[in-house]
Amino acid sequence: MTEAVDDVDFGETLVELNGVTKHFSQGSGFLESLFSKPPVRANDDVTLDVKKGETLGLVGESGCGKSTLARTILQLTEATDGDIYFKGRNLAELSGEELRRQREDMQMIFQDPQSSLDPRMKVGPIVEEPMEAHGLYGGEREERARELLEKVGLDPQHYNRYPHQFSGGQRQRINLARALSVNPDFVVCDEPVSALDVSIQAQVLNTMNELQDEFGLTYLFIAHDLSVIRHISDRVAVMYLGHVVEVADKEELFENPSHPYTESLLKAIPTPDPRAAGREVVLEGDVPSPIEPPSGCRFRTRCPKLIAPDEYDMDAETWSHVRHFVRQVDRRTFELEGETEASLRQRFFPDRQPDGEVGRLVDEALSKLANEDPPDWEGAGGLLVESFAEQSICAQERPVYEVASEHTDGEHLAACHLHRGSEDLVAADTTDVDVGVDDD
Amino acid sequence: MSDANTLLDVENLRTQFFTEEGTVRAVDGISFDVNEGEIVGLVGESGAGKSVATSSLMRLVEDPGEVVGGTVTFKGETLIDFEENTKGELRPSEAMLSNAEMRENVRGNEIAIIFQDPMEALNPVFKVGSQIREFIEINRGFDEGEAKALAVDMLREVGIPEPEERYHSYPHQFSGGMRQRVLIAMALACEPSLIIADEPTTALDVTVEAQILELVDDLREKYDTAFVWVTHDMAVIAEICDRVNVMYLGEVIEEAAVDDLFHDTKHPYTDALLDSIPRPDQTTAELNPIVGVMPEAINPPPGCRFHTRCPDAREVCKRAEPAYQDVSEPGERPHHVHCVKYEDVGYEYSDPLDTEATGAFAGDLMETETEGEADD
Amino acid sequence: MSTTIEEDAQESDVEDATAGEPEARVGLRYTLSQLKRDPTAKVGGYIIAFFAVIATVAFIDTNVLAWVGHKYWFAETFWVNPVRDPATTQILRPPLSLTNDLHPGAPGDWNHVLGTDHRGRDILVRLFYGTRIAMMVGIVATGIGTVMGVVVGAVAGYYGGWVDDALMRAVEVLYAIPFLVLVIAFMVAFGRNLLFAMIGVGIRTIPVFARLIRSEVLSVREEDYVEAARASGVTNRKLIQRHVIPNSFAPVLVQATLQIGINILVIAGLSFLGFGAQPPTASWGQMLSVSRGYMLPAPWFSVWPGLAILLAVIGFNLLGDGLRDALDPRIQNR
Repeated sequence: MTEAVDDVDFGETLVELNGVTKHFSQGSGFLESLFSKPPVRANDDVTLDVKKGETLGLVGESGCGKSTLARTILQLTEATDGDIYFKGRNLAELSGEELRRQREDMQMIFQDPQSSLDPRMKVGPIVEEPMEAHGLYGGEREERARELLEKVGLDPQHYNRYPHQFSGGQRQRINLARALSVNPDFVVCDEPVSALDVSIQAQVLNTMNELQDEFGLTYLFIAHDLSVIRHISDRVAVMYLGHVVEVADKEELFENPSHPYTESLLKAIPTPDPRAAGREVVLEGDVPSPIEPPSGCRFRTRCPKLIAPDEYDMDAETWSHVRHFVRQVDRRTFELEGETEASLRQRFFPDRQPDGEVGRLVDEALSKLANEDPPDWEGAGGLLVESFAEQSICAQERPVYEVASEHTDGEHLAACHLHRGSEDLVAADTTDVDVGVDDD
Repeated sequence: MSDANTLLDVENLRTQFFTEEGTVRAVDGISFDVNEGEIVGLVGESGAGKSVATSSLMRLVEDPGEVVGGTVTFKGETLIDFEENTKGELRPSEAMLSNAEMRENVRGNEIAIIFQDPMEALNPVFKVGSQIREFIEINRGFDEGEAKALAVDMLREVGIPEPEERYHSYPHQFSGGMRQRVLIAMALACEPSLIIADEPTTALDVTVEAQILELVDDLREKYDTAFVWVTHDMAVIAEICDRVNVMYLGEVIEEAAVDDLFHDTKHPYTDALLDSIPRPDQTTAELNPIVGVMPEAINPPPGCRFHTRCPDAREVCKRAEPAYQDVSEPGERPHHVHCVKYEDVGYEYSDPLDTEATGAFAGDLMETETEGEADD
Repeated sequence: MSTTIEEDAQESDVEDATAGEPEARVGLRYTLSQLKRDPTAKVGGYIIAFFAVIATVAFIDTNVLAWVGHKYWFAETFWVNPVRDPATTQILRPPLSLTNDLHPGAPGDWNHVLGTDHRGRDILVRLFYGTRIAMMVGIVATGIGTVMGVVVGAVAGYYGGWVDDALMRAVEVLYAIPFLVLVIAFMVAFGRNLLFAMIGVGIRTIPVFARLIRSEVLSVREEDYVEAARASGVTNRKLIQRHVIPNSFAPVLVQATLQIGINILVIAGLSFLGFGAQPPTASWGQMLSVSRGYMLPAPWFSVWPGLAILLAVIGFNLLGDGLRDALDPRIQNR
């Protein structure tokens, strides 16, 4: 959609992201260009849209790039690549002044309620500032500011107070009032309730819901807490290490998660009920660095369902053991003291030894560990990773699939090769981005 | 899992902060105990006084704060004790351990603390390994070589890969979850009987939190360490605690076994808290927040401190200060509450209080005004 | 376990659960109240107020009243011609009740409480008029440095990049040139009088403030509230004006008060070397300079202007210290 329009109907696309990429260079200055280090790839090829009137939840853990994406959408930082359209207009093509004026329609609420308010300004003028910046409501700004304070649940008489005289929840409401002062269409909320106490969170979330109904707002709601996302979103997008890995309507996502990361995430949320089953720890290890992310599907280094390379003929159980073995060796999570080749074999392949090519590779790795002094961790790890992890389709191609929705009508996208050739596949579009052989 | 052996016994602990604006009664008479090998939760929102409570236990409260009353015993040793002198004032008693004894024998050795922000607890300019080693040397009197070996062992124990190499890393070279593991390693290295964990997973992602909690559970089984687990997250409480204390504005208002707390809730605050959290397993149409804001500890409401926000508040709640008592039936597990409803002061006949909390709707609202209020 | 029923002594309404709202910790009124509580700051404040009053009176006298044709009030003691009136010459009279070799047997009297200078002028009076020079010089020189330094430093810090590089290099040029060389060269070029001394010192003060505010701005511009304002659509100019500078200003204010003291000293030094207020204008530095030649017969001659300078500088320092404490949000009397 590339024609600019004045307004959009409810349910139509308001904001469109197309292949948005944001890289940060490490270090600055002119020497940097001579000895450049690889960039931090905060967002890579993100394609998403936000429909008018909805709340799109954007969820992911620390380091996944959601905050960066939010700031890139609002042009607080420039995208390295890709396009962002707001009501059909490409934001990157706007001049400085045009962009500034466009901000009237797109506002942001920050995570930390305290640091997002100027400590030396009174609250009333803080709420008025955007109106002034866009030349709106001349002459009645104070009145409107007081009205807004009341709308968000604060006492209009507190117009002359300073931010530190309010509690955290109240400060976040001030932020809401400020954002609303210019009647925006679109509000990006960057973890707006994460810093608040649980019972206050509930208050603020309720207020945000009411305001959305009253003013016809569209929210992009970023959070890491899936319970909150479940409560407030209409649709949800899940991010991992700079990629969007799944997008679906809320019920669909929670009831029919179609990406292993989403599943792990859901399994990791604690339920406030001692009778509920405990959390399953499904993911091992740490999130890889965004500087040199894994090739293909970035989740593959921790995915419990990594797909076996086609060339080897293994059954599911053997592959599961091999996969576990590969990762444990690569991360060096166990002790070699006192272990022999036989004991290691027993430990990782208790039931059956793999045969054929697989068996040979496993043997070689085991030998490097058990029979050499000092043990050749690097050699073993390198061999295993190269032969297994990097030969998997998950390392070769970046997946993008549309799967059938089971619970709702909306579209359900899942970036996982497990869906290739499966019955619930609706459409596939594998764009290979990096087929470089990076580290595991 | 837990013996009847009481490890830590806290009775009527009181800590106050003497500031220019007045005396802040941060901890105002809390009592609880911890048995060997169990995990006792201490849950409450910000301002409830949980962190002050744990610092008080360890006698780490600093000016302008001061422990002003109560008795704390740990494994038979008296950590804190006050006695009344002739003027009726409370003074620290002789039975208390001296500061030196506290430092050498108790802190680190017997009771260890894990903090919320590992970057605060770890010195960023020293390597991680040497920090653990130093901790071990001080508390267990090992020499350098032995201490280093133990440090490496503990790093492996908590799941840090390549521990001999990571021994030489700086804190900033670890991820958040890893750093927290380092702190756990440090705490466990001296094999304490009790570890006080002050919101250790609050800053971590859920998946990392799950890993850490699993680790803690494993380690607890292996070393039989007891924990006091401070948090504001009810879900974490549900997951790992055996017993729970709920704090509100400096007081413990409910204490029960974890299942009883969630499924046989007795205090209206706990009830309201559980009601206000969004759940991952259900889609809730609307949340029920607790009305208002926790008042400041410098001027707590009279009578029951929660009456200003309590949906069940009655007139008598303004005047009667409830006692902390066990309301369980005989044969059941102990269940303590601090609520006028369970007292014998005519709650049933008293009129409902007219507050926002008891009003028609429990919608989101601001705190109440103090200016221009007509006094009673 | 019995229950306790307390009659509440206080008359609080149920609604009055929250204790009084925390008071404002920002703003002029609050800063002043903090200052009032600080004894050091108060002492400093009184000293400066004292000098300020004197300076104002002297200023009115020499500039306003003189315009109207009215001679200086103390004119008759201001200048005496030793050649014309040798008999009435009272040069180098000692201060009250002391004697010296020049006037044996005639101890100082109430006519000249602090004594007279080498031209027979009353020292106290000259100190009085010298105050005006000292204050004016301190404030103008520092003012020039502050205003220009803040603008340069804030712009450099906010925009960064080549703007920052260019501006800061220019500022550093000022730093690199030895101070005296700079000022003296300036005055040789333009004029050896007080006006150019002030401007010269002012220019030399610019780097101090530019660097100071630049480093504050570098951290303030990363604050969330600045980004929030930018995200709302506020222009860069307004951002700097309304958010960045006020929040970076505290250290500048503190430095300014200290700098006034420093600049007074500096200009006294310049006068000492002959580059400043020219005779017969009374200035402390100049008085100090002249007194060098009369140390033996009249040692007190150098003491009084020295003390005056000392007192003024101390006063500004004390006030500066007090301001620093009052403006630091961490050092609150909580």
